[in-house]
Amino acid sequence: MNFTQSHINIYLHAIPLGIQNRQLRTILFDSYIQVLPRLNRLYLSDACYIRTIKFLQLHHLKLAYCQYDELKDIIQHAPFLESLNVRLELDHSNMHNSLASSQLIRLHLTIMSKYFYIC
Amino acid sequence: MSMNQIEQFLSNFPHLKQLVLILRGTTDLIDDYRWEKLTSSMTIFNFKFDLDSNFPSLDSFRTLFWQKEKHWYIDSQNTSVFSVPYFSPVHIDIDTRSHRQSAILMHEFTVKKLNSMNIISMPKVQLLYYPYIKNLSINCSFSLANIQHLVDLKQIKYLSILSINDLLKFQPYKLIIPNIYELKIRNSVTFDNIEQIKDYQFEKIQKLNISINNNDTDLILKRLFFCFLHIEYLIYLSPIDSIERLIQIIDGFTHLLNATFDSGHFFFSMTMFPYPRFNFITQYSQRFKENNFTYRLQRMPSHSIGTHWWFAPQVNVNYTIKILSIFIFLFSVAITIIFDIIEFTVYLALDKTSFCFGLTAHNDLKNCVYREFMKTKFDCI
Repeated sequence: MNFTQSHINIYLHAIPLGIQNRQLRTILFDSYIQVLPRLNRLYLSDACYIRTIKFLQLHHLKLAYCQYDELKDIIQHAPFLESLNVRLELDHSNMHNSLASSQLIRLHLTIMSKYFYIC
Repeated sequence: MSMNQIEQFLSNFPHLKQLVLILRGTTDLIDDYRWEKLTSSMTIFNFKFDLDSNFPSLDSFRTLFWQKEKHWYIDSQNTSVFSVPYFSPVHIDIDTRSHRQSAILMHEFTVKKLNSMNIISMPKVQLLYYPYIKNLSINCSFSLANIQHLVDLKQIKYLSILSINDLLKFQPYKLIIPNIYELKIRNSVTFDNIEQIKDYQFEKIQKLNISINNNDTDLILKRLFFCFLHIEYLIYLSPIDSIERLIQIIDGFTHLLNATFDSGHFFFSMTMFPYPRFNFITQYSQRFKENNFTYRLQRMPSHSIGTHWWFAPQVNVNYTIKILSIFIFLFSVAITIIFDIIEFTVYLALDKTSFCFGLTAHNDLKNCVYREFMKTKFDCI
């Protein structure tokens, strides 16, 4: 597979969260770790494996589930992010932590607070 | 989530042009002025707020800024406030508390997108007209006039009613509900119920969701087979007491292609010993043959065990005769054409022979041979 293109999409959202599949997800991310920083567009089921990756070319990100602190780290590591679609679990206690992004122009945000879950 | 918190969150993104927000929060989110300030530079703003209590009014969202400058339209249903048409709901519940004011507020976009209505009780005042409803559930007593004031019955494809007698209120049903496809009867059908509709046939209805009273089961089923002649999908929610009963139902609805039976423990034993039962089914049924059906266990919405059955379509005898007639006709035409080609070839051959031998006066002989050939041909036929 050729990973040199910058607009590769990665879809891992269909993989369930069982123990065996967790191993599979780890293996997959180990394989993708080389290419992730070069991606332009990324769609993931959650953010637990990508908090420390620098996405210097990422412009479009969709996360089916994410926590506030995870999102803060991702936004810090993706300075050119223009479009973000995220279902965010929000703990009001950590909302004071800034996750500023000067480039973001499109935001699709579903907030699931600790007390209210919306589908 | 409060307005303060959302303002704090959105301040992280000063250059937003397009925003879609889905969240649950407090009624202070219904503040047009603060949203105007937050979204003044945006081109797209769609939201859906599920609020923790009732809110006073949405009038402030109908100003020049919202409707003329931005073309953003807001509507509500119960304690939910949303942009239309982006978040327009497809379902509406109607009850006595449904009042004219909320209906008037309902935007044209919302009405167009609504295709499902559940009438819990008839409203006390006349409401808005909903011409795009296709799925209609009526869970109260009603008159046809009341329903016609609410929905366009000609659009209805799915109808759920309490009693099978309620069907009589839609007479003549081919005119009143001409596009109905699926019918659900919520209460068990009794013999008295079915006696009132026994002379009617509902040919348009192809999917039936029904349960029947345990008494007079044979008589009720016999009437149902007549009234609902063209059922292709049956959902039968009464307990099946024997395999003979199941065979009776499946054989009775002659157009059946799918059936679901909510059957509790009965099918469990059948699954444990499938092969003898399978033979029993094929032996006593007119419909079940060796390879024309299958079934599987499934969990029913009521959490009991049910079975779903698939049947191969029955061969229509009239259709077969028509196909056979066409085939015979085409075959006879082909034979005629072949004979004509042979005849023409022989004729040409004779003509060529007379030319080759320079016999210019052999027409009589040629015609004589041709006549003999034709005679042989018709004798054969």
